[in-house]
Amino acid sequence: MIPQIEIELANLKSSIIELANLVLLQLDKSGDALNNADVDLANEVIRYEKRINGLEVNIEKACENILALYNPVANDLRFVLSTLKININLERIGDYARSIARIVKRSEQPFKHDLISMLNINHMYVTCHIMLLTTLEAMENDTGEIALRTIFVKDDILNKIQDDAIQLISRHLQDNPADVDACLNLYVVVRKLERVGDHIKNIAEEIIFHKEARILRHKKHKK
Amino acid sequence: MNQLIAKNINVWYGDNHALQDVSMIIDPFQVTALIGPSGCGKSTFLRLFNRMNDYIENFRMEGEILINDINIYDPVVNTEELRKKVGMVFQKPNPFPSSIYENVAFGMRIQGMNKKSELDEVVETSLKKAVLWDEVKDSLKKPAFSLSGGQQQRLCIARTLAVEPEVILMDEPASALDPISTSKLENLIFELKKSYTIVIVTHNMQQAGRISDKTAFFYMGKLIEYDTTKRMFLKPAHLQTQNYITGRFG
Repeated sequence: MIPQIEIELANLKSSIIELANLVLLQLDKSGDALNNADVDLANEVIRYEKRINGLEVNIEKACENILALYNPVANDLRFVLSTLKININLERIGDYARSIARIVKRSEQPFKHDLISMLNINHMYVTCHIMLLTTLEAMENDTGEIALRTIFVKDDILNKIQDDAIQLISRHLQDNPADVDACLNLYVVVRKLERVGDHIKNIAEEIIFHKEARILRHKKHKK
Repeated sequence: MNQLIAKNINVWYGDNHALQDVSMIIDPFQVTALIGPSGCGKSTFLRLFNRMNDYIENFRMEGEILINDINIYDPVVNTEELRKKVGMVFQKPNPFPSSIYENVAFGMRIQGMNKKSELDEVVETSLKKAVLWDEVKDSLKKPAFSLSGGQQQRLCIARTLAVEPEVILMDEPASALDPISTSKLENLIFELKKSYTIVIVTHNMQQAGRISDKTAFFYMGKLIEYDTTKRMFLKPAHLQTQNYITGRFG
């Protein structure tokens, strides 16, 4: 006979994985909408945000129930605590995907591909996708810290791209002052993707806390 | 001071090897919880410290139990004196069929103390230490059985304290109590550890987590893991411990 707590924890695990998959899809779609100036797709991302919010609330309730009714300890307790935090981080990533979709929707004309390319935005999208996929695999399987450590390296790549963006934009605007609106909007996209990276890093830290009982927050990561 | 040491303990009941090579140091003025599934040997281990197993037929032991560096299984040790130093509280409250007062005074009387003023003082102090005084001070002559289960258990603790023990052994002391009585008993244990070394057997994982400083996990007669309670409940070193405390088996 399977203990009830095991059933509850398995349900919680599949819910958080469902949320992570949904957020990954939203992020990818926001990138496609941006690249193709696809307002319909942007609207879809905005609509789906409600589903992410609903899932986030349900996961929080499930965590609350497990804590109140089953008094989990050790590995189980760490799983519930880390899931609570992963849940918040995933919801935020969903918010950023929606914000980018809104930029696409508000923009009067498509963003020039050379601008997107100059700011390395697609590189950021691919990096975020790989990072989130790695955390998803770690959540699903027993991936250890080594696989997750690549996330910390990739987060540095995102930070570097953001750091370089201001200079690239200012140089570009000297010769193309008409691009100011597009540049400002795309800089907002860069900022949001950099924040997505921070949230994925937080998720990786929570997975390591669950599996190894070590708190990595505020510590310099080994890479 | 009051350190309990078990050295290479093996216990048999007939052919049943109930404890297998258990060694453990129990720190003074701390609460040590013994946990594990039924039949794992935790109660047998607890009862070694006041030689209660001696009454069990076919009981045989190898190894040493040291209290304050004295091997309590040494033939020269007086078991009555030992049980004064190492008191015990059982699963079910077991007051004597006499008054509240006489229950607490009993131990002193058999030691020859009969002076009323001295007995009064011991009874009052012990009941106060057991956090029962305020509830019974006006009804000391009433039968002990008139008390609730939780009060009876605290009365048994007062009776144990009256003979000034150094160590208190508790064998599932809250398993027959309601949540309010359990909470009072747990608060009492917390207070008592300032003056006594306490070893408690419990099946209630949350209780072990709440009240103990260290926890020992027994399984099939073996001591699997012994560590600080925090560590045991956050990151146990052994999979068997994790499976037990998370309710996967046992």
